[in-house]
Amino acid sequence: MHRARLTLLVGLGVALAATPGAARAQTVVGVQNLAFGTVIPGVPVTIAPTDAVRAGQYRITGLFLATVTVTFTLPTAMNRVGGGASIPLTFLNTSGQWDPAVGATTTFNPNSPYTAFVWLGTTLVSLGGRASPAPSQLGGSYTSNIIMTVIIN
Amino acid sequence: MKLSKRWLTTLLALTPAPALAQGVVVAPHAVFIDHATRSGAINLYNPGQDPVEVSVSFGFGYPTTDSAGTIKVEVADSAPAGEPGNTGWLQAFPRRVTVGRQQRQTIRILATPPAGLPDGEYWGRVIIGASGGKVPVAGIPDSSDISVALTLEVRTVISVTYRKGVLTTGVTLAPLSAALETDSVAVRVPMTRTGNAAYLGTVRAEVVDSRGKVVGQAERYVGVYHVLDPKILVPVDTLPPGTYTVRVDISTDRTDLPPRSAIPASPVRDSVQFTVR
Repeated sequence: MHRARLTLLVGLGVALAATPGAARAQTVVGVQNLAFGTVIPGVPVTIAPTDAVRAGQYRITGLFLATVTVTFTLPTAMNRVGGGASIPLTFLNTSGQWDPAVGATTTFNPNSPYTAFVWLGTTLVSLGGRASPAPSQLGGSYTSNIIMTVIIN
Repeated sequence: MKLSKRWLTTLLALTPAPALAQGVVVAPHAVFIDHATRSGAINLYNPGQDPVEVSVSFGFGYPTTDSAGTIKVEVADSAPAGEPGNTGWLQAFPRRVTVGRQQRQTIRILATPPAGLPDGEYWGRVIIGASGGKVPVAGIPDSSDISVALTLEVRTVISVTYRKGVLTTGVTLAPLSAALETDSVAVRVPMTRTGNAAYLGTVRAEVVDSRGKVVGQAERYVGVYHVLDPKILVPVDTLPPGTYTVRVDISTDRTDLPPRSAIPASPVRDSVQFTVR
């Protein structure tokens, strides 16, 4: 580790360590939906977690020297608003991205629990995926729900 | 100007997903309930601009390590047989609530333990689910275009510990091991808990060269409920060939928890040497 990073860590660590434990709070928020936009029947669309505009994004803040386990409840399909059809949805081995304030950005498989150590600061968790509309896909809006669970170890 | 459905759909689809800030601040990140008061509290704050629907439920789990030393927690609905779970007799009030934008909400946790509960510590997890107002999905339901989006929900899981009677804790250490892994020294710290309560503490590790100079340090909060064998990575610059010592200090110093939450125990220290060739 590299001296500048170490100095930054020590400085921020001292500031955080001075905060009483009872005052510590953590926030897990969804900041951006995973949005495939308009798709063409029969043409699969894959969104990478690095896609800053379309990837789903969660933000975790308020943790310090903590290990967290992140799990996703992922749908296998998106349902048409009003019913009558669905579009298969898959999440790939590299559809998840963990981008901490300190440390390297890594990709992970969101189909399995992902455990990481958080030094401090804000961690951005991004999620991509693949939608596979059928050639005869019925028009309309399709949606579903993704749940991210953050377990503070 | 009149927009056709197709143009409207395209326009909406091209609009980036809006910033949601869909979630709540949760404090503290560990709840301790004693047998005298039998209650605890969690404070929520919605920093966003839209109401957030919050649900509170309970599960069971505690940190364990896999063969690689990664710490993880698996949360089950209830405690397996033989485990000191509290999920069956904790209740949250309210269990569901809508927290208005930039509003606060307190969740009370009340315990009704069974009669004759033996002294000891009982473990569980509070699951706080948060979902915001639905964001309109780009597109029109009866359009021939197909638009697709997924909304996000979040769940934060924190520990809830119920304590009764005289509690003691501590850890014993099996032999440490250390090895250089790229830009870090990986230290395995195999701990076994003693006493009748979880060991909430901090592991500090430092790497010292043959002249006694500290060349790397790291610390990690740990909770040892039964056994834990975490891999602690101590970042180091390039190490010249030689023999190094890793010193490990484990104490119940936890600045992230409310005062007196970690049951005090005597520090445990050990060291191990490794060689860089």
